[in-house]
Amino acid sequence: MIIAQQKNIKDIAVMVEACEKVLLVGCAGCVTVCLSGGEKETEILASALRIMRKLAGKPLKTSTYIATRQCDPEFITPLEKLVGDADAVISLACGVGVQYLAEKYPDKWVVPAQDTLFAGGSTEHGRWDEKCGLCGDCILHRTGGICPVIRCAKSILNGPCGGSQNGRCEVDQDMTCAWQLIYERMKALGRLRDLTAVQPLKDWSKAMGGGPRRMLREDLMAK
Amino acid sequence: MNELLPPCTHACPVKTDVRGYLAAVARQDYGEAYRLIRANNPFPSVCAWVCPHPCEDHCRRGDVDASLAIRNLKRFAVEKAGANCAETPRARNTGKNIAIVGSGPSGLTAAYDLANLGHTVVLYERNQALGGHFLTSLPTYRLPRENLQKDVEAILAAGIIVHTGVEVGRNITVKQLREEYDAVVIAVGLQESKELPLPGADHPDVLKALPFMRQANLGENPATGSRVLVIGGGDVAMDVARTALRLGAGQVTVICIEFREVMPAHTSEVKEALEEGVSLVNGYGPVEVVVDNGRLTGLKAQKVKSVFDSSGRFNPTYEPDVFITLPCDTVILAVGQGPGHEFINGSGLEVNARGLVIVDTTFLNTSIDGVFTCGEVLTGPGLAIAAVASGHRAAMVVKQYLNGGKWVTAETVQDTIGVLPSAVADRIPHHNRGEMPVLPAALRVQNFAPYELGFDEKTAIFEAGRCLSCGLGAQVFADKCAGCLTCQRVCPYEVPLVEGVARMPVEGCQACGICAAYCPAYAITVDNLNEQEIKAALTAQQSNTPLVIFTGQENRVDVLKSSDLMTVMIRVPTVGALQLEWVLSAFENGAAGVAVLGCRETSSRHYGGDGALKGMLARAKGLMVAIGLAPERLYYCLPEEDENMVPLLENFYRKLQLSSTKGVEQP
Repeated sequence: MIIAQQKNIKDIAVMVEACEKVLLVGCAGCVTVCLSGGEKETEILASALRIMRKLAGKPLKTSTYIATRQCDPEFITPLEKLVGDADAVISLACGVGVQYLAEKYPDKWVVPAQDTLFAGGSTEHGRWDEKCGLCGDCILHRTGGICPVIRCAKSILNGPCGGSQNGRCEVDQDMTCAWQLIYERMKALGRLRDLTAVQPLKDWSKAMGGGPRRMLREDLMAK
Repeated sequence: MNELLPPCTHACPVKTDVRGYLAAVARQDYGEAYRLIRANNPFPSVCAWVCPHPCEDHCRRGDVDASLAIRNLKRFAVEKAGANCAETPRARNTGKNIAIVGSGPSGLTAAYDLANLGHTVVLYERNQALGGHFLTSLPTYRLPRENLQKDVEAILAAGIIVHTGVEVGRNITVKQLREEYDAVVIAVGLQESKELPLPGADHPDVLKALPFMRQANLGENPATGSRVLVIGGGDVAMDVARTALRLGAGQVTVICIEFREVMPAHTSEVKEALEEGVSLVNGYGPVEVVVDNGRLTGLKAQKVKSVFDSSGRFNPTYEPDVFITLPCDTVILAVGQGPGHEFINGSGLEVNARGLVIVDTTFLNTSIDGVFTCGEVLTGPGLAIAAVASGHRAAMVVKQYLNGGKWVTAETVQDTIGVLPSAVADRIPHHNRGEMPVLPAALRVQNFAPYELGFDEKTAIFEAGRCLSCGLGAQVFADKCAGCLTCQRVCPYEVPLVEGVARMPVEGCQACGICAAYCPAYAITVDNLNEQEIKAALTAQQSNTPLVIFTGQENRVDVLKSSDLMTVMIRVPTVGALQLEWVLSAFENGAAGVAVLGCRETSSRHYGGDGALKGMLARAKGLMVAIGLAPERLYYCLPEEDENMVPLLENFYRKLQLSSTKGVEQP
């Protein structure tokens, strides 16, 4: 899932400081699961903004809405009336959701409440780790199910490098060397021999860098 | 329709909302506790003393440490509430007249219900006072008669006409009553003590339990010798033995067929009888009352080999040639009760071989149209509270009859919550059951005064707080659940199951509310935690700058009543269930400060939630700084055991007032 983290409320407040009424739109998708933008967080943010503005002598009115997902246009269509009544929209979705709202309501000031961080998952309550670099050319079958593209600081495909010390990465002693993990897992699987093969060149044209990517399923699009 | 009841309520014949009144006691709302106790039972004061509490036998707290002391809490609540109970509204007069025969628990209950339905109810009682076995059979040290009087007066206040000293079957017949009234309910109970066909049992010094107790209770002081032998192993036998002691018998022995561990008497009754000096001879069956020269000198008994047969039926077998003879001057038989037959005279009522009135068990009507029955004369011996339930049932069928028909209503199927999983039981903090203080045995045998002294308020509140609130746990709105696993990860009892969406097995959920506090999608509601009430309390406070206090249910907060603090008190099952939104809402609605009263582990109802609470409070304070609220306005207080919280809160409140005059807040 997409992991996102709420911005400092002061920064969010600045984005809407000229507004008298704002609509906060939460998302019941990834950001609910990573506890940053679901219904609960939406209400907390709305309440905190109201208090803040009340103390500043510029009361703020808020309304809230939780979209099933903000990354599908159908789910943000029902907001039309609420959006129309507000001076601005604060999206608690990831960056995708913010853009969908901005596209859907081009006349409205739409601002993000979150910093979209990475594609990952939880490892324990309150902790999320990045797991996928979204490179578009998955090689996990060659690396024991551990992604060197995102979990190795250098994204090297034939590791480890010389900076791997006692299983730790030289970039950060708290970071486990991804190639150490790959080695141990392949060893446990009896596939160490696979690692002696030089990895083929990776097709980075599928990764970000060439402009926004698009996926088409023509079979589904056939009219 | 299916209804899932907590085990206590399910076990109660009148389905008393035990869980509800225990919660009311815990929050010191004694009027509400009394209202709930009396809702299905017109004998709250009597049952508070003598109910054999099947609820306690089924209490799931017994799987943790010990079942709740429910009856003792009922007594506490009833005594605290005093006479402050709302009258039951009566229906408009129907013009129908109903005769009730007998004023025991079933008769008075039927009379009360029917009077409240607007019928004219006339009660016939052969004694000079009302109450049936409550009046004549229970010793006063177990049931002070003012308690019976209080309940009877409240019942009669429904407008029931009473004829005492009238014995149906002797002074008037059922047939005559039927001619005079639109319906008749026979609730005469079981009036006769059973006899034993033993040689010598016709001796005048062989007494029967019910007449003996009746004489004792009506002040007629039945004569006994100095050595009394009571035959029987039930509660009545214990009552008889302990009454004989109080009447002055020098030596009282109870002999019964059953071995100690299977005696029908309640364990506590046996224990208290032994404490008072009663001797107990188990495993012997009476063979002969020994009479020498016309004088009763003893009881010969034979050793029992087994009491029950292989199918569990009472069918004692004896050791051949193993006898004992217990010397005594008086024998009292307490071996069961049966119906009297006076009331049948001239009625034409059909009875079965046991002397019980033959009825249609669904509609309770006898062989005479319009004549119904209820209570022990219908069911045989049972609990008094079961007789109350039978009285309610009789009132319902009479109502149907008077409305011109009889039909079976689609009754709700009532089931109960399953066994508490051992993995959950292991995670529940153990707390000792509140013990009822009693007078020492040497003092209590000197007279018939009550010897159970009653809970003090502190004991009662803590004891009520031990309730597991079975069935008031978390519910999931499946359409809102994101399956995020948060509930599973924060639950101190590891109860939630997440398979697609979350599910909270009712057997395990402890209703702490922690999962609801952390659900990111507001997909969980907890029946034990009324969020709407909390939100209403927070939004109602407005601008008079009160102190909002969130407290776990364990903390006693009645002391605040003596304080001048302007407070809004919000009780939650545990402060671990506190939600950041509520804290913000308090400030948004004008609170000068928010105090969170935690609870020490020694008295905590729930382990867990502390870490989450500290994290939430840290976040709250950080957020308060960011939005311009002084973080000092949020105060977490973890008082020492028994520490008075009022000075702590007053100190906090004073600091708040000082802060506000200094203008600490800078938006």
